[in-house]
Amino acid sequence: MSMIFCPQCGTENVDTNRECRACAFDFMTGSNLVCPICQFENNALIDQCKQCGTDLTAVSAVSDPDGKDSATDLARIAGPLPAPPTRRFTPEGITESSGETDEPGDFDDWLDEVISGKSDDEFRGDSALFGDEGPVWAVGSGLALSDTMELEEESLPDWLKNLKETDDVKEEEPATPTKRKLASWLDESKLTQLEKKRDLEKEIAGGEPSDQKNDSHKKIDQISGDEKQVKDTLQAATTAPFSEQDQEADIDSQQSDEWLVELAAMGSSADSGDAEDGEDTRFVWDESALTSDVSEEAPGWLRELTESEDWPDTISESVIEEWTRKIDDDLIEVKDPKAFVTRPLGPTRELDGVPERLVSRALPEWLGDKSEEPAAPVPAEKITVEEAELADIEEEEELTDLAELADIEDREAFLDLADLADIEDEEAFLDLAEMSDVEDKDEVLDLPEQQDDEELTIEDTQEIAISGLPELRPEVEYQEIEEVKAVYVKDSAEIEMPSAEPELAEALVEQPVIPDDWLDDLAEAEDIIEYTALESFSSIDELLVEDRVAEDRDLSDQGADAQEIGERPTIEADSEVPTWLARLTNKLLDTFDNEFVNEWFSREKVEDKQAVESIQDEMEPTKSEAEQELDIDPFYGEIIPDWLRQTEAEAENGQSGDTLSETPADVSFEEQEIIQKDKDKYSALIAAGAVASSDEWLTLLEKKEDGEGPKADAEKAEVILEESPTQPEVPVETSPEAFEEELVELQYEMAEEEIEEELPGPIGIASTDEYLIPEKEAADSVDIFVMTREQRQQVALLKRLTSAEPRVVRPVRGQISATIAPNMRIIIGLLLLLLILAGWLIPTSLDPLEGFIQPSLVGSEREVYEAVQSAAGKPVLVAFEYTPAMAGELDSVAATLLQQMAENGSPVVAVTQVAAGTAMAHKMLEAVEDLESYDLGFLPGEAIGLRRLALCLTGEASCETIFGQPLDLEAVEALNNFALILILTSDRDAIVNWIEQVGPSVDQELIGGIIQPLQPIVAPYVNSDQLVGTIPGAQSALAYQQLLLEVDSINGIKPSALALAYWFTAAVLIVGSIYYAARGNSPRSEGKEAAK
Amino acid sequence: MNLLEPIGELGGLLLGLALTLFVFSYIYKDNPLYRVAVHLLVGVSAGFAAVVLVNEVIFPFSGRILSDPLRLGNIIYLIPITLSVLLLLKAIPNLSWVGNSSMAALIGTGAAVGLLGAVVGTLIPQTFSRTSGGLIGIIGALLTISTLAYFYFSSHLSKSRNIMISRWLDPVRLIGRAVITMALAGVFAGLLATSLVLLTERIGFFVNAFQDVFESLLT
Repeated sequence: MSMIFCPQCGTENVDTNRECRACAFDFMTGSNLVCPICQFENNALIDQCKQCGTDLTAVSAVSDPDGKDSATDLARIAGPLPAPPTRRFTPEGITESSGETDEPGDFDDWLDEVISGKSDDEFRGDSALFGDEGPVWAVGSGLALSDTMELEEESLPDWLKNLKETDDVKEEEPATPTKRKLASWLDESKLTQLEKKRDLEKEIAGGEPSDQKNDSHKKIDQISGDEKQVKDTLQAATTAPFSEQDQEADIDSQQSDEWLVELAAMGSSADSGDAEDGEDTRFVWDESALTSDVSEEAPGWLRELTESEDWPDTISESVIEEWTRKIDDDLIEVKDPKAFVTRPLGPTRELDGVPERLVSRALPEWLGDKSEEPAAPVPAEKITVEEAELADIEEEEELTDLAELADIEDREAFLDLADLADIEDEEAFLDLAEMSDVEDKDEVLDLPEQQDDEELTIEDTQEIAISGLPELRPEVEYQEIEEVKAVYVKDSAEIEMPSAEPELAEALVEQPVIPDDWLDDLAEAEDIIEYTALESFSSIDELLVEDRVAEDRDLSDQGADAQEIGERPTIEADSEVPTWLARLTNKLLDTFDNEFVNEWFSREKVEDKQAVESIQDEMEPTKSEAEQELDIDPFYGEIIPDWLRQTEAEAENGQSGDTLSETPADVSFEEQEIIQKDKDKYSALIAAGAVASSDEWLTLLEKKEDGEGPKADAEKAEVILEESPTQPEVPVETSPEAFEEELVELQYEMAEEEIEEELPGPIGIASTDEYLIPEKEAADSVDIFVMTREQRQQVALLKRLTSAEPRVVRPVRGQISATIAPNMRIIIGLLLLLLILAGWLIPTSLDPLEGFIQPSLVGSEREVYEAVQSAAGKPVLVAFEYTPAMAGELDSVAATLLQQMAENGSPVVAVTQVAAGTAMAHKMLEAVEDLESYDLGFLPGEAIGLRRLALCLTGEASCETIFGQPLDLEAVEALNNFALILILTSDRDAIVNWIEQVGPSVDQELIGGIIQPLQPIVAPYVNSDQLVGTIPGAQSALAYQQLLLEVDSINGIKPSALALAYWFTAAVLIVGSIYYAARGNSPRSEGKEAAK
Repeated sequence: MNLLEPIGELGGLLLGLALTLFVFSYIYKDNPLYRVAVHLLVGVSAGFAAVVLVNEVIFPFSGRILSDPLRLGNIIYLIPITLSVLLLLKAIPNLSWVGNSSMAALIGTGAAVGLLGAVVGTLIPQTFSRTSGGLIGIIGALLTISTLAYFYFSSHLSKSRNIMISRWLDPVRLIGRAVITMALAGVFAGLLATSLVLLTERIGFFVNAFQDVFESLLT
């Protein structure tokens, strides 16, 4: 479905609409177009027949009653035309300038011929240069165009037959330019200007007031003046020689007419050249440039080409070696120079010398330039689609469009493509594109982009291009070509191409590359085109239309000639019919959709969408039946040989071979589906940048499809790229059968993917998604646990410890059972009680143990005695640091010492850090008779409190109060004059705190009354004289009493009872040890046995 | 003589004897009577300590501050009182953090004082003690080292990645183990002797008390 634009409001409408959806303008009014094929009445605004798809462009031109006037108007409104970017073909290479040059050769040959202003007769006369009518090679072969037209129909394909049938029609009625034939530079402003003029004329005709008529006449005159100015400029340009001074003057005065001036200059130059030496002046080469610069710097063959009217039959090997050597020096390392040497063809292949001429003429123009000065190396660039889109082409977009519309073969397109590829050195890249000199120059540009993220240097591209050089020479033997192919394969293998598009590389490898210059030669050689002198054209549009018709005529002629020369070398035949190129371009074309094109245009601020749409429609890709046979894409008439393009008759009838808009009926549905899927695939690849998309001009030719876009293509590309692993670039046979098989495989793969997708299920039934258990995502990789050295050691130790543990705890053999053990404990306990009671009940006189349990005194106990005795009469600080639990033992010690102090007259100042000690102190102070004592009470803070007490004892702090409690004067005096410190404690920390916190601060001695277990702990302090002595336990206190104090007992401890308890306990321990020793196993040893 | 007095003493002696037997019942096994006696002992001790603290610490401080609140020397006591109150908040989980400052001050000060006392009162005097030199000192040092070696559990990895423990430490550890055994045996013997003394004292206490009561009752 295509779109049409309302001529009244410009609204976009579907071509099936009969009226505008915005302004209700009736599209069916006016001159409807009747299809010449099916007689279907079509809308006047559409370009193709809705029924049969015939191109109605020519029909519309014919049916337009005001076609000539329109053309005139278009020429008028063309006005100051913008100067397209031109490129100068110089021996130094191809340079680009934006309208600042007037060098010939900036335009295509056909346009040069038009501008030269030759009449038909002149062309015919010039054609005599080639011997006869027809293209160059046809002339050389002695075949005239009329002869080619008389070829038997059996030898021609069907589409050529159709072309031939319509050829007469075209001759009868020349084509008239139409709106859609206009170039893009005829933008909306020009069209608007034309419409404005028409409106004014209508207003005048409608009887408007005189003032308005005058204004309208003025406007018309103004527009007409512009038109006249254009025409005058063109005429002046065609009649007067164009010099640099004139060019500069014109540039200063009218820059907008520069390209027209250039046209005129070239035409005049051609005329002058023709008048002087009668050479073929249709070449864009400036004679002066050729004789000056080119003659000096270009290779010999080029001089022969430009200077000599008589083309040599052969080119000497020395000449070829010369330019190949130059190429070798600059571009490529030629292993075998003979690979580039052309040999003269034999009588059967020479075709009366025409191929030789053709070859010599077909030598690419850039070749001479490149041999002199190679392209400057361009730094490698990563070419991606995004970069291409970001390329700054705003300034050149209109010029590019102009070039594309005027002649798609114009190398300006490649310049733009180079811009899109974001190559810094555009000229170098352009040269590279031309070096390859393939018809589809985009392939060269595609190559770097196919690599996507891979860097493709210009040097690589040069290698690719140069590798195809021998193939440019049709007379190169096939064997030599194969050698060069091998070189190319080697070079191309170094370039990583996405496997998704191997056809590109395969095509470049397998198929010969055809220089496009031979197309120029063909166009020059033919003389059947009825060119009209420039003066005869009423406008530039008419001129352009005529030129287009001439191109169509060339296409048909050369196609016929190509069929006629069936015995040409295979390489030429392949070159003439580049099936690989057709296949390639088909796929490339299919990848572009109009939505993407429109988006691109909108991004590039293309104002005239109508022109874009018309261009797209004009270049709509279709396949005719004949083209399908040849597998040629009709949309690339610009890049395929001209003879494949539409003939004059078809152009007149609107049935040109390159504008067939609908798929032929003989294309099966399966094939269309395959093509469509293949199209999707490559669309996605292009969107992802895997396939070259820098040839933006191709996008202008794409058919718009709804629901498609770069974004969708990008998504597809991601999938396809993931599914397309990189494959080695091995030359693969690209036969049509193989290609179809590949497409079928692709179709199956896509069908399988569709099957794998979840089915939507019947309508009205709940989706199973809600009940499906979602797949669990794999956990992230667990960090590797690293065992440190310390951990290893700990593990080893733990193993040792655990291994030492018994596995099974078995009852010890002979062990007392759980029921017997408590009883044994009770028995032992009761025996102990009885023995103690017996000790108490036995009279002392009958004590059997008398003398046996008499304690002895040790050194520390005597030190205590002496210390207490030395402190007689002086206050003694006594610390009661024990609880009632230990009162049974420490009370006897305390009572013994307090009794001694009382006898010595030493007052006692009691203090305690244990809350229960206050009760013990109170009890003991009351228990000793005649003891003067002061109870200071509780001393909190442990070590801190003792530190504070030490400061008081040393006089560093006041001792009037101790922790808030006021002391009486006697207590204060006792603290200031105390002579001994007695520590009664059962706690290690208590005696240590006294030793550590108070001992170092005071000069007084410290003695201790401790329980027996503390004896080993305080022994070091006794040995270091930090403690003068200790009375460890009740037994020591008893001995202290009996030996020193000469008293039997204090506080009720009877030595006989205690002695019985000791003996009984010792007996139990001894018996138990003997018992277990007699059994030979202890609980420990039995545990080890269990462990074993 | 009042008859109730010896009866009262007898009741007290019987109660004390019962509690003593409750504790002594542990020789059979852990039983509720033992637990009652232990809980009663702990409770009475804690209560007695609280009374002592209130009576011996809080009342003197508060009475001193209340007597003359504006005195600078008395105001200083507000600092420890405040810290003590904050320390009581440790019992409330949500406000326990408030008492951290009191705990910090208490622990910090105690550690500092304890460290100073250990250095000045134990380390230095024991190092320069007259009795620590000579043969006894060397023996004591060796035994101390051997005792410490018994608690040396470190090992090293061999080249074959095996855990290796120095074999020469085994005899040293054995000596240390013997030293520890003897030290613990001495402590145990002391505890056993103390226990027998306590038991003998308790039995003697009850024998004498009952004799006195019975004599009082008879007379």
